[in-house]
Amino acid sequence: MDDKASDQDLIRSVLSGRQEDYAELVRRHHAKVMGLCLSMLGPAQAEDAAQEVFLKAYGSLSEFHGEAAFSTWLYRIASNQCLDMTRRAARKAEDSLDTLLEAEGDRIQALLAEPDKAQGEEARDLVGRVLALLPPEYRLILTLREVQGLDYKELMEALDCSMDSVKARLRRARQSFLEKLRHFSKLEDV
Amino acid sequence: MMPENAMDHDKITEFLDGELTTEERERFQAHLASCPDCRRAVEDWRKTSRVFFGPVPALSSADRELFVRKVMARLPEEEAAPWRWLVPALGFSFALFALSFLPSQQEQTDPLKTLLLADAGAAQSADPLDELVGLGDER
Ligand SMILES: [Zn+2]
Repeated sequence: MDDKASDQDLIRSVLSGRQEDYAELVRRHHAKVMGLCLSMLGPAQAEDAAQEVFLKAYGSLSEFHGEAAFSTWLYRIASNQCLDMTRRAARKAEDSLDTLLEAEGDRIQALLAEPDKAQGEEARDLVGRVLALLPPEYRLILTLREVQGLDYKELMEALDCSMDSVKARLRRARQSFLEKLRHFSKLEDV
Repeated sequence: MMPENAMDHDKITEFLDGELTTEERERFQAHLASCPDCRRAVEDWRKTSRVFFGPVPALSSADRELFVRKVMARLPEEEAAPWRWLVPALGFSFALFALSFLPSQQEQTDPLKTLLLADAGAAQSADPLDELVGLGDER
């Protein structure tokens, strides 16, 4: 099947037994799934997680009926995969977000004053450590919205919840993160 | 006018997410001009987003192709879908069907061949695929 075939065409083809056509679906959606996994889990775990997502999607491909875009359906599987793995990692973490923000308040304040400097390796490491301690649900919805750029309708489908819930979760996630940043790193002085 | 003001504060999430209509957006921007709390929240969130939710590094096409190969290698063995056998199965059945006319012409000249073809015919009708396809009786 050629690369102009729609996702739906490819899915039909895979379901009718042309397994090789799944490669094109993976190719098309690799960046989105891998991007979410990288943001949620970091480079060490992202690839394994993304592979799992595509294997799970293949296993339940017949349950995809095209109400939402295939990419949104994949985001739903990827979200669950990332939440599972993040929660497992979070249980092992001894640090709390408050402790980290308190210890690194000055460095975070410096980053917020000059966001362009957040690209260096040290800065990325600090950002990663802060994100790792955000409640997984907050981190997920903020990543889907801010990094992956999903709109409210896509978020409803990816998170399997109502529009009101999408708005409420985003508001809570941002408020809670901002409050902590203001408390520990004097965001108001930035 | 607290109620109206509070309603405007509430729009901050949708404003940040670009989910307001043009009219609602203009209304909220007017509110921002007169509400330091909302202005600060918008500014703070934009800085926070740039630091903590910046774009992920781009992935190379070589990485992508390697990833595709890894996933494809891990897919379960292809299940033999009945409709995929159908074309060769029908072709094979037709060939045997055509062949089954031959013995009557050659019966006298080659008894061994007749015997072999009869066996093939017996094996053929025992094939469960025939029942699946529903051609068993027609042959
Ligand atoms: Zn306000």
